[in-house]
Amino acid sequence: MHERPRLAALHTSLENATLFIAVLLTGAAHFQLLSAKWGVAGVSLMVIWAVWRVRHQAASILCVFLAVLLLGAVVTPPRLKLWDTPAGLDRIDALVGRWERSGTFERDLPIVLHLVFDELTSPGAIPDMRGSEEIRANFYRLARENGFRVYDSVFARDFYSAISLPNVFGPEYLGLSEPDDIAVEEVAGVRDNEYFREFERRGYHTAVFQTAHVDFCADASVDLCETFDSFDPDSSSDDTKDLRTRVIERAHTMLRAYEPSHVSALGAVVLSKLSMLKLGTAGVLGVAGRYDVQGFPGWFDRFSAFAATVPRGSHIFAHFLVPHSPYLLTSDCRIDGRYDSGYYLALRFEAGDREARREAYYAEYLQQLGCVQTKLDQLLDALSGLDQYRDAIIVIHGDHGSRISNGNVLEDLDTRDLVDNYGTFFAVRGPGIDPGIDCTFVSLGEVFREYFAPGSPALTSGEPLPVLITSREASDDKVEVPMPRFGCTTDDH
Amino acid sequence: MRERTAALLTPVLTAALLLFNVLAHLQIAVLNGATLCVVGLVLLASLGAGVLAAAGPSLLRVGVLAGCVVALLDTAFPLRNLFE
Repeated sequence: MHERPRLAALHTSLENATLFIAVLLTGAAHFQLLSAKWGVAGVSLMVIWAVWRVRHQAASILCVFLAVLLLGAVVTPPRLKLWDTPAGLDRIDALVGRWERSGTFERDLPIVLHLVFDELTSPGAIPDMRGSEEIRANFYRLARENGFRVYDSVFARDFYSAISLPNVFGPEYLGLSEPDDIAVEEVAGVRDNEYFREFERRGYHTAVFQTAHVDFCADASVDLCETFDSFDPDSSSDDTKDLRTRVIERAHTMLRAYEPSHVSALGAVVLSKLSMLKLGTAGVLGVAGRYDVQGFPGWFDRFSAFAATVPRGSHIFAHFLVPHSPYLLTSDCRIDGRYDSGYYLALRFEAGDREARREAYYAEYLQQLGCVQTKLDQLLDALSGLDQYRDAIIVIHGDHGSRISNGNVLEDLDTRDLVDNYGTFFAVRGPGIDPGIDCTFVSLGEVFREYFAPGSPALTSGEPLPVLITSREASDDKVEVPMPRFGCTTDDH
Repeated sequence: MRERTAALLTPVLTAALLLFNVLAHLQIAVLNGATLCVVGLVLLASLGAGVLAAAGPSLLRVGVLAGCVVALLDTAFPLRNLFE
């Protein structure tokens, strides 16, 4: 023993105190007297204490332990994959071949191209502010130049895509006013997709392009299924992106494999600082905070190339997680934004600050929406000269509003919040459909059913179905609330 | 094994193990520019931590080693779930 007795005693006291504090923190967090982060701090202190006790041997022990673990990992499956699967156009070519070989196509049937953009609001729901007129005008130009009937006053009936869309394609497609009671925590596949089944009965072959957010491939009527690359690392090689963007994407993907962990959370913070993109709480419920925005431009180009080659008799469905938050894209589709969302303003900001925040978030949202419009223009331009698209039915819609609002509980919402949460886009083009602006005030399920369900009656001028909103007064159950009129359906618009 | 050499290797081996697991689990192609950049940067950072641990005082060494153990525990048994 080389240390002097007093120093040794001090060491021992410090060691004991560290262990005592570690046990105290861990115990207090365990019994929920302190928050979880203190519990983690307690565990970390215990580890420090243990390593300190064997500090002269710790490195060697750890080294041997890690080497054995690494060796074990290397010799057991899954093994490392060295090369990417074919990327870019090669991949699309392979897909086209696969698609055309997947069956005999009914060439008499016009192509149905169905595009769902998550959080895409209706032109009539966009608040009046700087930049909003241009966005609205672009939507109306879509109607004028490409023959779409654009609805100004359509709304979704639920706050969540994972509830809204399955109901539009399920019970509401069948004309039922009571949607399925789906818990958003159970974000899963759309298994009762009556809409897809109807198109299968008509003789269509259905190809689905989706995010991992809502699984539209769960129904047996789907013939081909592709999941977009930010959720599918196997296909994330994209030569059209610069290296920096690809490195950021790749690092995010790898970090997220370790969710939920502090390594992942801390890594995301470091990565965001290094990439000079701010970290926020934006994410998609049910998929561990993942998002799909940064992959959109590359994936949409890939999708467009595929769509331009499909034969008649194809039913192509695609769900894009844009302009869904975080608002990372500029109107010319560059990544230059923040990892943030405009949700739950009432919980995050003082009452006097909320309107300014709402407008600021909308300004970023409209930039991203501008990117969606840019890509839509490019797609429609590309399809306009193709013979197989001469009588195609093209439908484009959202699933709910921008959700840049005070929240999703009835007691927190005013009229503006309802429009922000539920106002959604709907536009359709096809033989026999008059182009123009339609001011019918209607729910998404009803208007979709009018065009795509068999024997569905034309919409009447009666009141549309109500929205369904969680209410504190109803013990957090959902209550039916009439949607306030907005857009060109109102007299004063 | 000499203590300082082991201290140098520990963060590098920890990073290698975490990288290997995620690459194999997600089946991310290794011979890809973006992947190689991420792997290179992570290994470089871990090597920096290893050099600090090897050359620095014992308190720093213990800190780095404990950090490696916590990272392993955190990813293998998410500590975030323990108290929630």
